[in-house]
Amino acid sequence: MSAMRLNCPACSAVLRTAAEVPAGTRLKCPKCGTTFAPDAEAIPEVLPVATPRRVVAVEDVEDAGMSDRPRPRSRPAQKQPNTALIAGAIVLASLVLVGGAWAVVQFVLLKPKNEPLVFVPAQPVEPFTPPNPVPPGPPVTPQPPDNLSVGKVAPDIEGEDIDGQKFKLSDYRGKVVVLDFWGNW
Amino acid sequence: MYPHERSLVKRLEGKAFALIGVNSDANKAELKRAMEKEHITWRSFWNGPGGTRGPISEAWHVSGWPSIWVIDAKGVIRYRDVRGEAMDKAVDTLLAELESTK
Repeated sequence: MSAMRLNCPACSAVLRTAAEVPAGTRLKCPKCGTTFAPDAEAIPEVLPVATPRRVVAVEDVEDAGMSDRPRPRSRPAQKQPNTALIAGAIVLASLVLVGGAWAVVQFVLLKPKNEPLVFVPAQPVEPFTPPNPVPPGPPVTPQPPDNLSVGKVAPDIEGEDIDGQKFKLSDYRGKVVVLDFWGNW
Repeated sequence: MYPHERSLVKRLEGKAFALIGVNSDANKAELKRAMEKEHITWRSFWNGPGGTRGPISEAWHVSGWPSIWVIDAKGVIRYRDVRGEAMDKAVDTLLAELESTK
């Protein structure tokens, strides 16, 4: 659009038209309401491109004159997408932040849940710590309980021999006995 | 181990002496075959199907094999884990002690 720029002779307001205004067309200043014919000299000055494309009727001229108002309106309208974009970006960013924070909270909450699960099986591991190796220790050293030490009366044994015949160690009282724990391995 | 015990049993035949075993083989059938093969004539308690975890070895806190206990005529434990000549000497000492108290 080859818009025109001209001055209202009455209030000196700078007016812009949406389209070219042919010479002789009367325009109405939107600010002071004065109807005027644009200065013929002013037109060529303002015209960047000299090819007239459209004839503007008086009605159009008023529209063209009024176009100063729609434009300020249209500027915010053009900016609105920007503000909308910014607002959208802010909303998105806040959503991401909130979502991220929620996820972090979830992870933080989930981790303590998982860790106890890990530590529960860790409890059975405790029996594997030295306390167990220690009990096998005493049997390695001879004579664990007092009643089995040298000088004590040997505990009696009641059992069966290989053929299933019952007998007792005390059956051999009065004899020197070598008691031999053995295995054929 | 078996040869020495065999000779001990043979040497002290007729004396107030007995060699008593506590066998910890879980498989009785295999044990019988082994006893025949090794000419193990002395009597043994069987530690049961639990093998080395049988009731007798548990009661006596035996966790290493063989485990030797020398008990005098009064039933008192006098020596532990004596092998070879030491076992012979221990038994002879106790037999002499028994002879002297008669």
